Amino acid sequence: MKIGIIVPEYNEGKRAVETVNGILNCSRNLIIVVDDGSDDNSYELLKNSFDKEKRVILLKHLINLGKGAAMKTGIKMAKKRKMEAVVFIDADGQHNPKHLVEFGKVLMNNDLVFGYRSMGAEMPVVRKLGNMFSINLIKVLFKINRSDLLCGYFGFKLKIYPKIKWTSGRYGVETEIAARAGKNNIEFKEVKVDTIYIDKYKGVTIFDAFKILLKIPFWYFEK
Amino acid sequence: MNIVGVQLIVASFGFLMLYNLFLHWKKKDIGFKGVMVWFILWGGLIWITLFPKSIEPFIKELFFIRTFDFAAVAALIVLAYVMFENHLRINKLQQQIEKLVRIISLKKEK
Repeated sequence: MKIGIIVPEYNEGKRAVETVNGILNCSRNLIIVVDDGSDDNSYELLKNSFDKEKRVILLKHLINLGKGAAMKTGIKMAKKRKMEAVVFIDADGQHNPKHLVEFGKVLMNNDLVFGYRSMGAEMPVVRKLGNMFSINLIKVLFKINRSDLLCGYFGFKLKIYPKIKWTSGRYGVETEIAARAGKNNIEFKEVKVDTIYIDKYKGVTIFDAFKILLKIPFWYFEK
Repeated sequence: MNIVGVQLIVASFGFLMLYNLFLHWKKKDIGFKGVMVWFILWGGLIWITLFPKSIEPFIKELFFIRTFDFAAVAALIVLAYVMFENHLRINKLQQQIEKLVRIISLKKEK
């Protein structure tokens, strides 16, 4: 099965280069890096590092549109390259590329695979509480039982994309995909991934979480 | 005609907005239709502020006790409409920008 690894990236600089290097070492798949309008030298760093690497496709958004939009651009490219499935991995080094092999194996027999982290001591308390609250809310509303709603390490076969296509441009993509998967009764499997927290001020803040909460009724009532 | 403070403030604001509208019209930022709509809105506001009694019979028909109540409700309705229109247009613009940025990025792949 042809799997494309999509790496949405924004201002991650050397970390993004390290992430792509890590993926290159762990997987033989095509890597699609989408620079979401970084205002530092991330794009130049990536271009200089992987200019001659045929397995890496580098795309750049002229302006910052958000993670969800960068992911959609990655999907467009994956479709253009006739990929059958995609796996998303964050560029900030929070996701260990060694799990890609397992994602690939599970995707062979499943349409949708979510990564989940253990909610142990490594996860910040606020994030843990927010995650648990959203897991239960999504479980009640959309009948989907997830172990970690905020993990951006996941993959799916492109044939199910129309059913889970998200509208969130910025944060909330992972929650929206879970909600849509639940709504459409899409079977899924979960793969345990390492819990790595590098920058505690990055990622979903309490304000972003509030915005996600406001979107949930729209997903619920939307066709 | 006795003009009270609140009337003076609102009417001055109305005149200022009419002047602003005129400037934008001169700069061709707004078309004739837009100018007419906003002229009626700001002109109406000035008229109601300076001559509240002129619309009293109409207000009584609608069961408003004071002209001020009518003005407040009308202002809220206009604001809600403008907000909704803006929301729709911003959403559409966002979608168009996203599409454009995506097309450009896919054309310039490394």
